[in-house]
Amino acid sequence: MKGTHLGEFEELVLLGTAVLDGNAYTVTIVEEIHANTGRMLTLSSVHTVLTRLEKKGFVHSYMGGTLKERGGRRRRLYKITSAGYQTLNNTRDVRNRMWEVMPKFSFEFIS
Amino acid sequence: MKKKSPPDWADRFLEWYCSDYYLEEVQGDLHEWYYKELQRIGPRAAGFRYAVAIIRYFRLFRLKPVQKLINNPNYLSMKSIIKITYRNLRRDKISGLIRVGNLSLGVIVFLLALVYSKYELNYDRFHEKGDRIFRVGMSFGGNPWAATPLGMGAFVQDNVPEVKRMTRFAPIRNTWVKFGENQFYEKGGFSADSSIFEMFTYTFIQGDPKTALIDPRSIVLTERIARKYFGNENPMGKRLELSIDQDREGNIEPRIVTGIIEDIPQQSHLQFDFICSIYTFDADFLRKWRNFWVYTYVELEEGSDPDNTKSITKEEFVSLRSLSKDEAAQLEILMTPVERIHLYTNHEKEYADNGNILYIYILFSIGVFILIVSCINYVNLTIIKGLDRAREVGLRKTVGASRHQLVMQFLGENMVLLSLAGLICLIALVILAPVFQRFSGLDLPLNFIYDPAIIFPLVAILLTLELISGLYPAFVLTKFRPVDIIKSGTQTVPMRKIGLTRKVLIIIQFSLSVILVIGSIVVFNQLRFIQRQDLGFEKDQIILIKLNQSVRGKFKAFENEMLQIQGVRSVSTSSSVPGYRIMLEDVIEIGAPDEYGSRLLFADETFLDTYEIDLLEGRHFDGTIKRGENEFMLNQKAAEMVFGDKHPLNNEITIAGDTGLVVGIVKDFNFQTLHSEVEPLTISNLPIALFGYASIKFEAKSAKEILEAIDVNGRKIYPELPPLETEFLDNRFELLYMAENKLQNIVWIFCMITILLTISGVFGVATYNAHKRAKEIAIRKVLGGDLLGLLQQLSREYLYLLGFSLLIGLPGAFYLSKWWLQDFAYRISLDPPTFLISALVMIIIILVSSGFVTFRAATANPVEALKNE
Repeated sequence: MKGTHLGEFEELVLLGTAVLDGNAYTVTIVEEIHANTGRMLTLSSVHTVLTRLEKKGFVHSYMGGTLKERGGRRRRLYKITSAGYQTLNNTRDVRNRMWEVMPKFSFEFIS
Repeated sequence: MKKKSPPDWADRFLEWYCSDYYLEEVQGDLHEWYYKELQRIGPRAAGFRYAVAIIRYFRLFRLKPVQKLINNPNYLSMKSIIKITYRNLRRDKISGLIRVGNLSLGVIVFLLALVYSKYELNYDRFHEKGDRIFRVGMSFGGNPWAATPLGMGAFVQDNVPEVKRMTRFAPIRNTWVKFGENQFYEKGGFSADSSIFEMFTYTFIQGDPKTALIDPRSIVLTERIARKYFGNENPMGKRLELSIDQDREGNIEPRIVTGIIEDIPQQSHLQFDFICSIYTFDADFLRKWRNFWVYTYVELEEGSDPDNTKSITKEEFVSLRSLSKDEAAQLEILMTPVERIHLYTNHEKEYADNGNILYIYILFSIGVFILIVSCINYVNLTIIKGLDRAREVGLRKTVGASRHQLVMQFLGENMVLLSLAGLICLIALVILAPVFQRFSGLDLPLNFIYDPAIIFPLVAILLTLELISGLYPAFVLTKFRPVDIIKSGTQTVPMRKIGLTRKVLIIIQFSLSVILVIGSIVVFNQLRFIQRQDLGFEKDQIILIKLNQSVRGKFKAFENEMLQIQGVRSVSTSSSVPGYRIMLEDVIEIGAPDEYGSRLLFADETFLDTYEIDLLEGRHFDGTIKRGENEFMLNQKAAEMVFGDKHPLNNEITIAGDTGLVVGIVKDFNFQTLHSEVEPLTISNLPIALFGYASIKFEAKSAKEILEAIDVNGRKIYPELPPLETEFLDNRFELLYMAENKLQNIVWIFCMITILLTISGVFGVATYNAHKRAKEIAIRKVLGGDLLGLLQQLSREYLYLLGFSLLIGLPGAFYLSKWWLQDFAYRISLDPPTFLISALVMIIIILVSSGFVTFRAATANPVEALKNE
């Protein structure tokens, strides 16, 4: 079914939103992901993904307070919904299950 | 230190595209990010990244119009309408295809006809005073002339109070024009009065319109010609040398360039390259009422009536020529508005090959008919399709859809289809434009889809269809109580409720189809007829050489050279040739009271052989021309006109001042096109100075050698002249019939389109009916109904309607054809077989297309139709 599947990028952003609990918006998410993975995402791509996640119902957004550097402009803060949380969990479960059934590998390298 | 802030222009770009919904947060995020980066990488890099980020934010969903659309309260219902339309179309592809295809085809045909007609109708509309400018002409006994004597212009200027300005156009056809090294042979010049540029709207690039032609030695050039002689130099004040070919002394006349005008628009009957001042002629000559050779245009005072000009001019002419009462009654002064010249006149001595309003009528009415046929197809199919959805409407109503919503649903669905058709039309027009241009040979603007004359009719057609085919089922259906529809279990509204409207539409459609098909056949036959008619002479294998003063002088030598060439059968010189205009003169039998008008052709003794014209009586010219000893041959028409029952041979006649014996009678031959009847013709053996053409009759296979020989001999005998102008006579005739040829092709294509539209319309409705009555058919079959009976049952309705349509269509076609044919001097007779065959063809078309569908339904296994109950 459309909408329940999470792409890798979406998963990352959704995780970021969940981690930042209550203080998640584009800038902080970019920083959080950078801190954890070293990947420098652009603001616009994160924003686009957040919009898409909201449309899928995995996050919901509200306008929050402002900061000085923002010139009085409010932030759009994102919060993970239970559906979003569920999906993240599912994703992890799938991984875990598949990890568990994976045979042990011993790699022989051919020189 | 300067205060650091994000670049302004980038911000403005963001504010320009981004919808308000996202703007605040996005801009805030970006600013916050900018200040963070400012610490890390400095102001320039941060500013650059800021700008890049803004560009990367540019996504469809953040755009202002998109957000506006999504937030529109109707967005959802629009979305659902499009979705449902798509599903309906997918379920019944054939009906959708027929509807959109039909409509697009009809609209395209109509629009092309419209563009073409508009182009032709817009001739000479660019003159600002066009509504007050008239061309003065004369008509003698119903034979109208475009040209007038020089004196007439001067007379009306002085004596008619309503005439504000007057200008004469005296053609200068063959002229050598020289500037320094550049010398060319020019054919498109006029001498004109200085008022020309105050009357006609020609745009001056350089020079003063008011004074440009006052000096007798002045000349005004079009931009094209100016560039040809002067390149990028400024031509103003430069001296051109003209040597006019008709001038026997070969004088060189200097002309000073006093003005440059933009090239003459293609949509004008007056095409020229340069204009000289007419005042090189002396004042006396300018008042002479002798030859009819100049074109006189007058501008009347605002709101005045041309009748006064006519009566004053007529009086003067009558008294000048001392015409008798009868003759005066035959004379009429014509005032043709300049805008009508191109389409409505084709007079004697007409300067240009004009168009013909009848062809515009034909083309346009066919366009309109086809449009109506295709629209009726569309409306018909859409209405029955719409009414088929009674149950859906009932259900929607039951679950609470308001009437307004239902109407919107129908209108919206319809709109989607119509927009699709409109889009197809526009795309097709763009694709077809070059093809159409090549075919019509007109410089139609390529971007004609931006033309309001196209967009408005297109939108109007689509809106009308939207209203008819969308509103009708919507209102019919939403009127019913849902309970009735659902309870009755019928999918559809009983047919008899809408029967009448549909029947009337079908009858109109069939009638128009009948008229179109018959009309096409008549037009086609007529056009073929006039092209295949026996002209009375042989037009094939003749090469014409145009003679002018320079060529004529040494033509005898040239002729002798040519006669040596293998394959040349004969060479003849004459003042004119069939296919070109032949001058009209008065002819009178010596001693007889009455004067007659006759065409006068000067020709040498080989003319009849060259053109294979039959000599009925008497003898040919014998080739020994002595001064003052004229001989004439008459054609049958002229002999009968002048001499009646008397035997014409060896009687004396006078024509154009020359008196001589009638020595021979030739069989009538048609020297004009077959639009006009054979006119009286007198052939004279006299003056060689008037010979305008040489005709070379050659053996069929040696055309190439002869053209080469003409070139070689031409260069030998006329080393100083440009190559001789040659033309194949049959090409000339093809040119004369070009309009007919094109029309013939167009009519053929349109006829096919009409048949196609009719078939698809019938096919669409029949498919629907067969589908509706599938169960009935199945039951009939199970109970033992035979195939023929079934076909009869299902086709009866169409035959019945067709019968009605034939009652309207046949007489309609008859009268329209008759009206159109009356323009032709030689015409086919409207015999019953044409009509019977056309009617039969229509019946067969309708039977086959409805029969095919019915046949499929009737041969299907009845189980298929009956099992799902």
